[in-house]
Amino acid sequence: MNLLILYLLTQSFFNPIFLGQEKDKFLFKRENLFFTPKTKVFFSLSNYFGLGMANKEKRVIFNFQPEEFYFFIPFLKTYQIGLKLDEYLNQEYNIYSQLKNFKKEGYFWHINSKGGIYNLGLILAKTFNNFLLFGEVNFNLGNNLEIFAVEKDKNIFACETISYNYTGRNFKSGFILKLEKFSFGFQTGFLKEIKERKWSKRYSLKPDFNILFTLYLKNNLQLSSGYFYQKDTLLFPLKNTFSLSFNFSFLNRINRIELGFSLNKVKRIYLGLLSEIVIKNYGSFYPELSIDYHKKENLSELLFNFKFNILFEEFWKKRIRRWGS
Amino acid sequence: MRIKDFLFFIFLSFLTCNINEVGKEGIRERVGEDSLVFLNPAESEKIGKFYPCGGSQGLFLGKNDFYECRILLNFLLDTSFKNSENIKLILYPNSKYFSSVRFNIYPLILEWNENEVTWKLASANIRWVNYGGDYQNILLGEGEVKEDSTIIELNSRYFDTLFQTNCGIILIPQNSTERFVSFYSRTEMKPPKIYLKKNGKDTTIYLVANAYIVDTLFEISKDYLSIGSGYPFFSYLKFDLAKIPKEATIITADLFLYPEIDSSYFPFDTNEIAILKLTKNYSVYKENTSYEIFKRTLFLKKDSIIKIDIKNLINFWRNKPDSNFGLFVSLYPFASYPRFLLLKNQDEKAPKVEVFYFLKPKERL
Repeated sequence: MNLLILYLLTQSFFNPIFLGQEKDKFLFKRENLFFTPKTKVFFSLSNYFGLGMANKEKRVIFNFQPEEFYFFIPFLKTYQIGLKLDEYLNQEYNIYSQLKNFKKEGYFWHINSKGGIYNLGLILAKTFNNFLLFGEVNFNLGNNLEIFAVEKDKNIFACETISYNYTGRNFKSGFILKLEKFSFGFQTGFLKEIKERKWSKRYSLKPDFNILFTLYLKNNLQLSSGYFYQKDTLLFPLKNTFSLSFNFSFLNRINRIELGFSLNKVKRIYLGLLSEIVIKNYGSFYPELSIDYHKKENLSELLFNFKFNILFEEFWKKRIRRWGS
Repeated sequence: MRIKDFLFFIFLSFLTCNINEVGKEGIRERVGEDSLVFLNPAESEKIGKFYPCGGSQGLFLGKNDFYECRILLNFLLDTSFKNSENIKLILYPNSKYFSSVRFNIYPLILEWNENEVTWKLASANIRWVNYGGDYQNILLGEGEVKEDSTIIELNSRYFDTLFQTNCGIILIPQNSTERFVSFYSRTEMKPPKIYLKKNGKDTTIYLVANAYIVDTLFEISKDYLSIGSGYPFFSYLKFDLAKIPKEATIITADLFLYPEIDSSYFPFDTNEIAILKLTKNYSVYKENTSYEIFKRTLFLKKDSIIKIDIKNLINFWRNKPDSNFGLFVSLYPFASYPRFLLLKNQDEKAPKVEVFYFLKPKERL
């Protein structure tokens, strides 16, 4: 049985500090997705609530968006080719502020950032019995609008928009070794480059590394430990992230609890709950709730993300006509 | 409260927009600095001009220390009306502007154009010989304005003189009153008319032209600017925008005017002011400078400061500096009740524009 581990972030009060917020690695945490030679279509929709806190101030934001799309086709028995479209760096935020103490009373800034950078990727995977090797090339494209509005009494008095147009590329590769009692995976992202065309900026991002070790304790009972190292300081989350996840069977469903934390300039603790509901002859539906807590100095945020993930699977097989002449 | 209600309340609170300051540190260095500057006029002047008031805003009649208003009426007269009897001029005062004005009626002897006639001009290219209307000194009638309707019996002996000139009649106020009266014009619900009887048959004659003309009887101190209507006064102001940086985004730009009510003739509580964007150079064309109406806004008599939002106009001038010919300020409509308001033009009370702007934000990283 396949189990998907989804953990995606979106709009954040920390986004203005960084170039953007990188999504967790999708493929790497879905090892079973590779090992079964099926045609697979996957997409997810995200309902997102964020509670931001700074000193005694609190603010809530809400967002709803499609998050990602994957399409895999197996070929030559041991190969799979995939196409993906997902958000690479989220640059959205929504901030109110009177921080400059306007020369006239009652005015405040409302800065709203929309958009981000997307991955349009091609994936190739090859299975050797218990060993999987995969590579991924992503072309980046995207736009971002930062709207700086001065408001008073719910009216917008002036507005200045900064627009960005991005291109870029990044590569990923890795392997997964899956044995009877455990599995071990490694993935690295490298040659990550983003070009901003309007302002002629170029960002060469440093590589990242991902390790995931899973113990198969009993049937349907798994314990996973992950480590993610992001060397680049332009991206969020930063540097070291540790995670521990636990798969178990309950009510004839596979469920997963994941706990993680990062000990960086931005402290991060998260909890992910996921359940798989098998849709017979179709695939699976995965409702997922994740709760994420970030903190840096006096700014903290609590993110609730309730997602609907749908996976469609189809074996390649010869169909037998059962009706007609 | 039931749990369901409580959850619903929580859900609503999530959707409610709130504006608390969370995450501002991330944009602290990026938002543009804001500034407040005051611009005094680089040029200012007041002008007044005789304006063809016509009758669209009413037909004003009266005389006081500041203005004299006369009414010109013309009828389509047929010679068959000669030797009529029982001739009456019927006028309907507008209750909003009522005053017991006594007036005389004389036949005019010079043709005039409804859309062009002023105190000085009968039409665009023809001056009155005597300013205020050329009329024959034959008293056609006299009377006093009554509240519901004013009916003046016209002298039937002299009425036939109208057929010779065919220029209409003029109503001239006789007594001085604080306020003027306004009659409904020919395009309104209760138009002026002449009622006459000939050979036992009643006939009603309606107007083909009407207008009121106005002259001023006062002088304005040079220390003041002025705005007015009837005899419209325009205050010309031009501002140098060099103080506003090119990269600035304007948040607000307000024109501040400081009225001097005590020395003005300004009888109404609510008034409309107009900002006129000049489209030609004022120093060349003076009072004939062409303009477009940029903005009209209401203000109250009790206001010690008149504040008008001219942000769009300032932005227009910043985008097209060659079009900055300045502006006129005036009361609106120009042909409405004759009145004027003095504007202080010295030191801190001089007209000024307050511009509140921010500099362009810095781009990401």
